[in-house]
Amino acid sequence: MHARVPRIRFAARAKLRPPDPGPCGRGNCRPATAPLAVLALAGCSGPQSALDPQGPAAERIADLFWLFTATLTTIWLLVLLGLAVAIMRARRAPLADPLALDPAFEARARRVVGILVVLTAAIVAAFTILSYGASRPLA
Amino acid sequence: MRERRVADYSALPDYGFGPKSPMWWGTLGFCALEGMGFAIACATYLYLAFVNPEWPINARPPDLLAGTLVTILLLASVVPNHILKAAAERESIRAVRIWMPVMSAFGAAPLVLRWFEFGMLNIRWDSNAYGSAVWVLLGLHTTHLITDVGDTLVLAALMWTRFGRSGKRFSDVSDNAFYWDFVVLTWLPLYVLIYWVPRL
Amino acid sequence: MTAEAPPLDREIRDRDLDDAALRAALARTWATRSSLSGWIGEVDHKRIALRFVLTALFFLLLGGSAALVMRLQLARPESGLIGPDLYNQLFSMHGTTMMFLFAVPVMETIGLYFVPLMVGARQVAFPRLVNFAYWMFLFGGLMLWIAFLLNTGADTGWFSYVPLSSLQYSPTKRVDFWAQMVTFTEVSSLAVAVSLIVTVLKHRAPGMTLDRIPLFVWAEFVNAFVIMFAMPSVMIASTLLILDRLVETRFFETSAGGDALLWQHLFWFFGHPEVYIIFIPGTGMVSAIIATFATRPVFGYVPLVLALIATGFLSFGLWVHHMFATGLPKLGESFFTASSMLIAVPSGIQIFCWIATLWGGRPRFHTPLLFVLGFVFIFVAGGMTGVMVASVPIDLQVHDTFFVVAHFHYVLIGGAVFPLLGAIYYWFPKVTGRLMSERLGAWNFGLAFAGFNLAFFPMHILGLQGMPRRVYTYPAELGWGGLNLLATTGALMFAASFALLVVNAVTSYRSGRAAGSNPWGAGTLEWATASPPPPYNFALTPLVTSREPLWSERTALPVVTGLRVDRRETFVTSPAEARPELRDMAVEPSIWPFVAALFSGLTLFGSIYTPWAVVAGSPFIAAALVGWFWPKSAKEE
Ligand code: HEM
Repeated sequence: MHARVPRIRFAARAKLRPPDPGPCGRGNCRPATAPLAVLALAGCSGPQSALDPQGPAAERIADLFWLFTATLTTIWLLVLLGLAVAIMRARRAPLADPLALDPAFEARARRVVGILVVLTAAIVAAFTILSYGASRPLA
Repeated sequence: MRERRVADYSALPDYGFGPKSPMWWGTLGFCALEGMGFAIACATYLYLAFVNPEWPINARPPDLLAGTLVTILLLASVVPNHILKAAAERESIRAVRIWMPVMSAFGAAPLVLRWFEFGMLNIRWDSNAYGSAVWVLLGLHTTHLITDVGDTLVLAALMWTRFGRSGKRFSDVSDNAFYWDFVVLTWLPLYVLIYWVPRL
Repeated sequence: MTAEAPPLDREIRDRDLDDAALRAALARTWATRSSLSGWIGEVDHKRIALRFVLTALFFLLLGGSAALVMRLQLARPESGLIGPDLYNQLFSMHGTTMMFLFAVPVMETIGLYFVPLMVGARQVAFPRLVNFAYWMFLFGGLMLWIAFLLNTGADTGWFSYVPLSSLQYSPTKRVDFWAQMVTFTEVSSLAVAVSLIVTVLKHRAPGMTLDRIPLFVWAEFVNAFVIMFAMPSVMIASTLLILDRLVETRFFETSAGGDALLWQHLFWFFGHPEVYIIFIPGTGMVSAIIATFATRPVFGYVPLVLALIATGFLSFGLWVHHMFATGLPKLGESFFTASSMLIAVPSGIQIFCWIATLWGGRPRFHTPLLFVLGFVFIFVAGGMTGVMVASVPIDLQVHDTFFVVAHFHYVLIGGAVFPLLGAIYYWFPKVTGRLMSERLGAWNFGLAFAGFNLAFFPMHILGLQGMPRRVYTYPAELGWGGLNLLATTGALMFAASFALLVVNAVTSYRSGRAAGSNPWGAGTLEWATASPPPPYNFALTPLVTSREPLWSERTALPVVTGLRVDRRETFVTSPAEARPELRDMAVEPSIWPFVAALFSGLTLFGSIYTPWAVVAGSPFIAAALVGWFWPKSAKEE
């Protein structure tokens, strides 16, 4: 049971390949990930790089990697956007009674937070299944 | 900040038994973390038994005599232990002075037998992983026994001093009895693991 | 305090005294003698906690210095600043120090300071045990670093995998010092955890029902349980390792039926919860800061409490994800992938609730809130890379590279250090009576935030480019030099931000603006008492009627009476409803916990060299414990 360690990275190291034209040459780089991708460009090739797949199995993993990166970067940016909007939209009026809450806001916030939590659960469930699929051929 | 006095609790007692006393909860906390330690040690033993095709490794299973006697003694000790606990909760100094020494003896006797138990394991700790596992399980429980017996002896001695008659001390005796139940309880799975799993 | 205190030779109740006389009497009863024995026998939870926090920050300085030396070495390829042997010691000392001597103790013992204050108690449960814990922690940490100065520093990484750490491959005493340090610090954390749990269960002010417990207290409470169930595992692990090395047991020796993966299971069963032990208190700090600076109660109290509890449970289902590269059975892998992903849900709940709180509040941008905003930015990014490495195929790509180093610094520094810095700015006025400078605070935040990201973001890319962790240098042809230089620059900036913190703390302590009891207009009980709080915390115990007593009782705080003031009395209440049950005696100072810690320390130290040290040391430890528990006077009864 200890012998099954797949050494994909070594497969990926096999031979050098000239850098692809697009940001890492993969279709999965959404606009939101562009800054990341530009930064990562330096790492796209090279004998040790995980972003320079040299075989079908390694390529599947690289695809998975970019899918994760794109989705997660989007989520991260959305969270930060939410935070920024929250700060900007919040009232500025100085202290009245901290306990005087607006029932309409509370009800709306409950709904929104509820939906977001369900979405989070759905995304992680999807990722789990995708990972399972991508590691199958390695077994 | 200004204050307004709204209630007075002068009439509350200044000691209590069981879940009323913080010490009881502290004892429970230590039972939980020590219990976790034992659980991990047992899991280690089972893990090693699982990865090794042969178990016990190159050894006869331990002889049953001493270990079984310890088990019987420990189980029997539960009875005087609860008599002592009830005496403490009645705050009867006479009864506590009788049963504390009895419980000290019930703690010491398994320690004597324990010496022979190590001899009857039929393996040294450094022979192989099986030997290491049984020695460590038995060693852990021995440490447990020694600390509790020490605790019981000190508390027993206290019952003859001027500090013996206080309500707090009775509460301590009751908590000590509670802890002893735990010492007995942790032994049972260890007994099965050390003496019976190798015979499966 | 000019009022005449009544004589102390008879039973005196607080209800019979007016305010000034009451405070004078309490000050006398609860004072610690200013002598050496008073100092080492301290039982005031605030002073012990302050020692803990300052000592842990001192270890942060040591661990941070080790990190800077590493970063300087890695700044350019083939640098000859330090050699491989020293590099091995440095990353091991850094990781070990940060985890065991800085992060866990600091996050836990900030709770030791504030939990009693926030639940309206005069003392923690078992203060002598807590004092014992402090000395154990100090001795363990000093031992590790003195050994390092004598060229016996840990050098097998912060998780010391066997067989590398076995006698065969690590024949010197380096690993033994590491393993015994683990025992010291875990004893310490466990003792504090028991004390915190009982404090929360039994010492809450009357009326503080479960649903009125402040979120920070909930976090420390849940955290204490995680400690209680996680730490025994690493204590068993380090003990077995020492036994293998010292008396030739065979737990990890494959040729004798032992198993190397057993170590990994035992270590990570602790090691993963450890990460949560570090940031669960951080979430509590965030909740406290957000409520105060959004000027409203936190949105979603119940979901937040449930999320904390869920995190606590889930943290025990994740350990195997550190071992994906060991070749586990497929189904097991998927289970642990799923549970690792699942933890994103409670974390999501927390983040969303905090954002909603800010949205619905009136945020005031003082330094503590800035650090909380930084926390969201960094920690969520770390959570995202966490989701990535929870995926087995991706993990196998980046395992043991700098990608992982980047990931865990984002979660650890984002999840713990930023909230901690916020908490320092937030509670400094309570502890010292003076406010820190807001201007320096903003600079401190800016430098820390920029420096941190500059230092650690490039490591993601370095990792993807294939730079392994724990290498002391790398060839120039690999092209990693630029990003490494960037990372080192960032690390220096980050370090400079801590220098600013120290400057700010020292100058503010000397000449900061006086804070008063509640400078931020916060709602929880620690702000009801003076800054700094007197040794007895509250002259009269508050009666709690809501979650934010200082917001709901705006004219006068309801309090209860009935305690004696000629001896150290506190209320004991029931676990769920906080109904008053007892007037309990708090203990007096005692030197015996120190003596017990000293003998325990010497015994553990001796056992690095010979098992007989245990035999020789035990009677001394036993004697010290008898001294500890033997009552000294009728007053203690
Ligand atoms: C002051 C800022 C810090 C810097 C510049 C820094 C830098 C580093 C570096 C360069 C490494 C070693 C990389 C390698 O060669 O493998 C490392 C490892 C590590 N760091 Fe940090 N670090 C910092 C703060 C922290 C903090 C606050 C924590 C924990 C709360 C932490 C926990 C760790 C751990 C656990 C390791 C792994 C050690 C090992 O490989 O055994 N670090 N850090």
